Amino acid sequence: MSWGKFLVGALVLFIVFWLLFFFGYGNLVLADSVVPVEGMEVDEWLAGFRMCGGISGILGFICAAIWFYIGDGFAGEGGISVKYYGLLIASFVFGVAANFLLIPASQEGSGFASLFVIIFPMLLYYLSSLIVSAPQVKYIPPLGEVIHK
Amino acid sequence: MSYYMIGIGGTGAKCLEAFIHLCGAGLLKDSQPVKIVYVDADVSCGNLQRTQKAADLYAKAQKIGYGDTGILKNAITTCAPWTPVPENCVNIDDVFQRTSLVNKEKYKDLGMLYDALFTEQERVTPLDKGFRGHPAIGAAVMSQAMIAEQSEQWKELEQQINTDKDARVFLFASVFGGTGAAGFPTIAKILKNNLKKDENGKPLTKIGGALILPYFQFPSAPNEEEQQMQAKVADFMLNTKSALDYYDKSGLLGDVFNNIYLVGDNDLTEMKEFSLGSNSQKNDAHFIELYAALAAFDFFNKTDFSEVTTPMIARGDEDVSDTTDKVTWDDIPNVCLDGNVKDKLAAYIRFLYAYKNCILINLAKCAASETEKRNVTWYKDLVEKAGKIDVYHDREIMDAFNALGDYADSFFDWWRQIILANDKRYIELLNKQLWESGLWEKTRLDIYQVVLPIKERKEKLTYQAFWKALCNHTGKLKTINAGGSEILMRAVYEICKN
Repeated sequence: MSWGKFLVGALVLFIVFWLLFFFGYGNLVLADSVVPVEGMEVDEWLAGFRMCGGISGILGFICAAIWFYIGDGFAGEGGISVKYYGLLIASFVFGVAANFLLIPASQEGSGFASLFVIIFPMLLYYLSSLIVSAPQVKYIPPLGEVIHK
Repeated sequence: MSYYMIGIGGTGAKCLEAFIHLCGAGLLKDSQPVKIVYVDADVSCGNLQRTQKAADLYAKAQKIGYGDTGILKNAITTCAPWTPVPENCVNIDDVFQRTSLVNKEKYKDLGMLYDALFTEQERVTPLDKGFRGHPAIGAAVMSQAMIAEQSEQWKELEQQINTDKDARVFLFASVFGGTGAAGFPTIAKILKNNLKKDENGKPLTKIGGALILPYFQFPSAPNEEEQQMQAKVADFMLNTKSALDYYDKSGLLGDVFNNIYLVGDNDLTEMKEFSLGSNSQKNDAHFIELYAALAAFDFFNKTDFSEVTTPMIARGDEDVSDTTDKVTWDDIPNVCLDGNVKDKLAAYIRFLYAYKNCILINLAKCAASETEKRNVTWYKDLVEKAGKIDVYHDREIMDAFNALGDYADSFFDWWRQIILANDKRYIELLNKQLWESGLWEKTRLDIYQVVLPIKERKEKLTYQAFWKALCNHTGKLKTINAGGSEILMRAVYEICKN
């Protein structure tokens, strides 16, 4: 697995899940339910939500890239699982931070908006590590041995 | 067809050790078995024991499959050492039954001749430590031991050779010591008498031999051993001259041998310790033995024996300003029919280095803990999935993998002696830094740095690059027809070859 393949794969995952969580869910569900804070239009809130999703996704993408870099240079040294789960936790923290700092405030009807912002970087990191990881570390993510049978 | 190797004396055993180690690199033209026979009066000689150990480790390591890599392809079996000293004989007096000779009136003249030929010291010195650099004793005992022709061991061997179509026999012996110089013509005579012959009376089996000329010396004996009979460096040249003269005049060798190789060095390497013999006689390996072993490969790989010329290989540094007298890969003659010695040996050295320093360590981790397997992608892909081997549950296969590791230790220790122990020459074949920390497996040298000269190219075979290439090897599995450990071994060798 080269860097090129990783970038393409991770980007595809990024776009698919961003479209699903932020564009699709936002336009089809949240557009009818969300009540933004006073003075903010729904469209403005949705744009902020999509941007928040994009930023949290980029943070997840960065975690995935760091993991690919570590995996590409891995040659059997100890502590690789610690590094993997450390990055997983970092991606979760990034999601939580994006949720608190970037998601537009609303009065009600935001549904799963916060959940998606929080899990998006973690999900992107995990799926990238599972599907488009460096061969040296392809069995380390949970279900890695099932996927790469 | 089989290859038969006969090592006579301590130096013969050392040449056999070199042959075993080089054989692993796949220098022989086919994968026919090699049978090794040791001839030495001193069966507890340290050199012989070390060679026996190398052969045992090789045989164990050979049990793992290596596919079509060509490495470790020849099975090597060894016979129990044959001693020319008859059972229950302590010294030469016992061998010739001196008491009967001098006491019986009938043999009195013979007894007087016997006493005139051998000094008292020569007569009473125990032969358990060999012939101690006295070829006269060796020749006498050896000729007496011609009854060996009747011994089961020789009979069996001769029978095997005679029934073996196109068998080839090769002898190693030093010409400057006792056992080798005496044994070389004696064994030749045994072979001449007992092997099937053509219409000209020459054995049908092709027979070759390497006579090792002086190449080392040792310090004089310590005071307490000074008075004992011993090999003396001062006698080496005289022994050599006399032996060669005798071989030439007797015309014995020409009737038996298809090829004879003479190998020696003008700068005698200083051995660290003096030894009378037995297990303390454990001399470091020397590059001359490597050359002698290459002579055997040259002979075994030969297809045409009609050539009667006497080629001579010598060397000297072109750059006279360079005062370091060194031996490089360019000085190693190519004795292979396909490929060349340097490439094959370099790939084999890198293979064993990578195996011991990376593969075996991680196989051991996987054998100890099942969760560790997740961290070793190549293990899961090449060993578990493709090779259908599970080292965690199958301890026997792990023992076989460990055997190759033990062989690698022996192999690199042999190289260490060649590289470091010779004070007269700089052996520029392997990187000296391998042994800087004392233990070669503790070194942090990258794989591409092991064999000299280090190629400074863009894609270096570092430890990391090796691991990566191994993890990426799965894609190539579709094109190969192999199973078991062969898949892993093949992958490691392929990576190390390039």
